[in-house]
Amino acid sequence: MADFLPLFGYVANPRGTEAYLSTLAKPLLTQAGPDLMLDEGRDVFLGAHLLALDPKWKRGGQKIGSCVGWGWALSVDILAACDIAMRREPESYGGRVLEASVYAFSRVEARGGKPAGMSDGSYGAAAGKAVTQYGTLHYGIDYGGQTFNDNSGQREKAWGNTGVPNELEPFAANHCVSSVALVKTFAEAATAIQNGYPVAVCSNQGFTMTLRGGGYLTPAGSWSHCMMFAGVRWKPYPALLCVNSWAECYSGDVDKTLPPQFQRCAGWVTEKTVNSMLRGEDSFALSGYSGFAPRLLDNWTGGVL
Amino acid sequence: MNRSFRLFAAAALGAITIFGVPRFANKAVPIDVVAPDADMLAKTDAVQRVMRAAKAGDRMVWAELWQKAGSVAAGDETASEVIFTDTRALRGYTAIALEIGWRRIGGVEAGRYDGLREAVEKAFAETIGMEIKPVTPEIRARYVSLCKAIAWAGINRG
Repeated sequence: MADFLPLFGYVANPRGTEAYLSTLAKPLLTQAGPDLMLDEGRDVFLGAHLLALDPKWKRGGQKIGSCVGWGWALSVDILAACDIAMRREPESYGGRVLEASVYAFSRVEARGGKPAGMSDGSYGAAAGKAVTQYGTLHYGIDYGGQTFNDNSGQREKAWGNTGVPNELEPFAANHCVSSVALVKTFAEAATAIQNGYPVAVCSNQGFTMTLRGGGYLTPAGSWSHCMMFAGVRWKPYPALLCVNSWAECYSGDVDKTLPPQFQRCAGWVTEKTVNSMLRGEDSFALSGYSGFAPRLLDNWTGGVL
Repeated sequence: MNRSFRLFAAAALGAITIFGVPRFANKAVPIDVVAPDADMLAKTDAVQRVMRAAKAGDRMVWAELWQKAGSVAAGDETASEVIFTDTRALRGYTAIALEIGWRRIGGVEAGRYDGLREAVEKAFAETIGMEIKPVTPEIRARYVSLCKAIAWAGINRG
């Protein structure tokens, strides 16, 4: 709980979202994935694929009002993991997306390139445009002499004003999400997740910080916040797993069936509340990540034979 | 180091002085390897051909080594903490097992059997692939089956 900072940063922009949706050939999940099936009984936790590829993964915490960057960056990470582990796409996992890249693209480049100022915040559709049209940068990769290893609020603040530095944009463009689709109901979100497509959720729904009944979140108050849905369960109540960006922020009765890394950074949100959150119409399922070239073994026998 | 351990070590060293270093290859260890299925038979065909011409002692070491390698990897099916999480770990283990079992204990130098390296590499490439990826239950099962098929090539196709 030491890292807990209840920062938000979702600034709804219904006109902006509507304008972005009008540019998409298939803006709704029901149009983009008409053949996707929902199994009302099959629990799914997409975070397992992320941990299989990155066993040391641990949820960090945002340091400024950059929740949109954080919710979307984790959605991209989990999408990349699902592409590899579920869909067997021939690529390797490139590590964690730099939240600052998504956040900055969503504030500046995706909105015409003008400086966005030093205030914080963004919205879902802008992030959708950011990851599909401008791409993503990653931690730990050498971008022509620049490597980003730390979670820096200063970087998010600076880039959130000026955008991603021009010299880095070509690198980011190599790793785009191919499409996003608006998710409007619990059933749509559950369908997307069951098929390996995470959902970035922007809403004004708040919760208490204490988990109850095996990891369930209790709705309370108002958070102008972006998080992401990474799992679906049906018992004892239908719910989606909502991952926050405040590090290990929750206490109480955690869901012990989840890996420890997810037990205190996420909580289950029941169907009714999910529907309320998605009613704001600024939450998206992500699909098709352009990942990294597969890494290959040199051999299997090490020259012994 | 406590007293009883020192006594045990001294006794062991004395025994080695008198009887010599134990040689695993000289022990007649019965190896029970189930015959592979048709797919694994085909994938290890080249290994079988090389092993037919191998020395009997080497074949025994070969079979025992691969049989045990498969058993160790199979242990991850029920382990609470999985050891071989990706194919890089599995490959590292395979190479170390060969280094210890084949070269150091078996005393077989690299290149003694023409075509063996190529045959084993081909079998692994076709069965598991060369990509660095997570070890799923399916991949682990294929690895174990391949190890057993390679072991079987040592004792049953000579």
